[in-house]
Amino acid sequence: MQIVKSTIVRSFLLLVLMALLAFLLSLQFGTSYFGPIEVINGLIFSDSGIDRTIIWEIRFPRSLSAALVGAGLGLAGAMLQVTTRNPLADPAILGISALAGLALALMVVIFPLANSYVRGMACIAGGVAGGGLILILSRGFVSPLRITIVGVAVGAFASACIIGLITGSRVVLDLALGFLAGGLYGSGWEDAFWWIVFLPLMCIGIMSLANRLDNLALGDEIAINLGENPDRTRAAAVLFSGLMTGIAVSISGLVSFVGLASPHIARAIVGRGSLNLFIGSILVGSIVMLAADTVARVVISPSELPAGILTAFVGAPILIYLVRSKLS
Amino acid sequence: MIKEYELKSLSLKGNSLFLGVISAGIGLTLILSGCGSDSSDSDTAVEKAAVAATQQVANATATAATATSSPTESTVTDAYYPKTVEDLLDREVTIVAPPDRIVALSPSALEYLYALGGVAVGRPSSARYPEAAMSVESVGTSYAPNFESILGLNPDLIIADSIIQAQPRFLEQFKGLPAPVFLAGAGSYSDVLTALERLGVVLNRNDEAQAEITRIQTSMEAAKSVLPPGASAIVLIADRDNTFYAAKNTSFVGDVMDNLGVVNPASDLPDAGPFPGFSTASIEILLSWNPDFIFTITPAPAPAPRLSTLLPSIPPMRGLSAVQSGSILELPLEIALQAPGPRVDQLVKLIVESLAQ
Repeated sequence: MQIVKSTIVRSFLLLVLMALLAFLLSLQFGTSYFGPIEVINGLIFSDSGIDRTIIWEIRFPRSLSAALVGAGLGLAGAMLQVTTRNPLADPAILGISALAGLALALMVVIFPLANSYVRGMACIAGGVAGGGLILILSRGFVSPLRITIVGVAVGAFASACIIGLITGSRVVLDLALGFLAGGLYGSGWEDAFWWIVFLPLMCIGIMSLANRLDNLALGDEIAINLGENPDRTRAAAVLFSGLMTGIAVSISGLVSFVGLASPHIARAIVGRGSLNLFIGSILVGSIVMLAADTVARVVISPSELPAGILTAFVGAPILIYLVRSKLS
Repeated sequence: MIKEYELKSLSLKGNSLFLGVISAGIGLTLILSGCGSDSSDSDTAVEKAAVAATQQVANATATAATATSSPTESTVTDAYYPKTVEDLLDREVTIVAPPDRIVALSPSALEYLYALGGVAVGRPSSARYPEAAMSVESVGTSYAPNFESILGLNPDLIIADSIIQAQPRFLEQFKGLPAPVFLAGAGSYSDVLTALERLGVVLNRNDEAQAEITRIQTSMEAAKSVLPPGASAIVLIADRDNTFYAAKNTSFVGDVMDNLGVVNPASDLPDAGPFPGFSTASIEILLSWNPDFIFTITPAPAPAPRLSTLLPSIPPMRGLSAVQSGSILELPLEIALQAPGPRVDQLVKLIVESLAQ
């Protein structure tokens, strides 16, 4: 038992170190390269000139935003997979991301001049509504197949609505490409601000749901005997996932596969318990998103790829592998 | 007993097929990102029109040019450096010293700068004109300028686009830049004249600005004088699904036609479709209009076929008199859509020469 615990501690330390390294690299690499000392100077000293502006005004908030998006999607994906007992569950696959995006598109059409905080609230409302819709339409989570089909249908409907809005609204069209592909172009301090909201919510969510979901994993009958209300626990987890997804979508648009792949990678490193899985997924999601965003900024510099393209390139093979291994 | 679905771990060890697929995915990403380019970066087949800003104008034309008032009421403060000038979004921009390192963020902004005799240290990757600017460092696309590249050039003036970069997400980012940002685009013919005038003050090149304005106004007046009265024309764009969109007078090319006095049946269409200033136009409505001339714009780069060559191959379109008589002309993408600006006189010349035949 002691050996297992120390292994898990080492694994978490490894993930934390990797996350910090990914964060540092994201500050170093871009159109121009900064060494670690230059990065630290740019963060600490306000009179570092252009370097300070690039590091403090552009890269630092963007990296914080990337880490937040990855953390939110990773946690959302992990909660959905544990709650629905479906290894293919992911905010994008289950349509929650698309509904958050639809809420944003509607907000932009009705209030084109809405600031980023109002847009963020709209995304959160859409994400939570998406989770609620999945709950209602799938009538409980007995069948992972039913949940997936409902989610795909909801996602298709929301995506069609978004395309319709793009066709009819100049304002939505203007933000369409970056939003649909998913990316962090233009992310700034107003996006990094959401860490203030996310961090306490994340702690509350993990602390309140991890043990309850572990009990649920033993089966509904056993969970009830342990004093759990399975339906309420599942509803709370799905709605919380919607909240996390909404925050992520408001910053980066529709980034796919981070929520799917992060829990699986985390599970391989830190094991299966919900608490370990959730914290591990947060760290893995952050690492994935930071890496994807750094590569996206560098590979065709000075132009940028949307980071969502890179996450899809990596995540799609993972999904195919999962499907094949499930079928076998 | 509720069936439990076990969540399978992802085992990365010893799965060479899995790792191979991941590697292939990453490799494909790098290859595609190196080879691929959006339509704005690839070479387009631009039909070059001869530019002849004639100085031999009739007395009547000269009178008309002289009588033509300044394009807008002057809102420019009459000051030396530092100068405070209103840009095309009516933002007051203060230039404290003669700008020396200027970055242009759109093809139109770049052309304005060079038309006034200025030089850029940074340009958008989609710009194709003027030739002298092509050796200047790229700062990303017009729709996604790279702010790190911009800052790395240490500019003392940034000329952004009042059409493409007027969105809140750009304006918020402009606030954080250490250099003043002056927005000048071309949504209409009068925008071109206003932008030249105001940028002339910003750059302390008022004489050059006035010369450009006079040149453009002269060509417009000369064109109007030879245009047959009541000539009608439409400008069409098609998307990938061959849905047609006709230019309204709120588009740049539509506004130029309106200034020329060309009758545009599409001017009253409601806003519809994803292209600003263009509205969905069914084949039925095109047949009901039956314009004298059809101008086309093809955004897709070569080797995609030009819309002007595709139109006659669409059976219902053969009912249009313009198709029957071959009165179709492909307008150069840059001056009609991608880079509206000081070369508006070339656009005017093309339109008038076609309609005058």
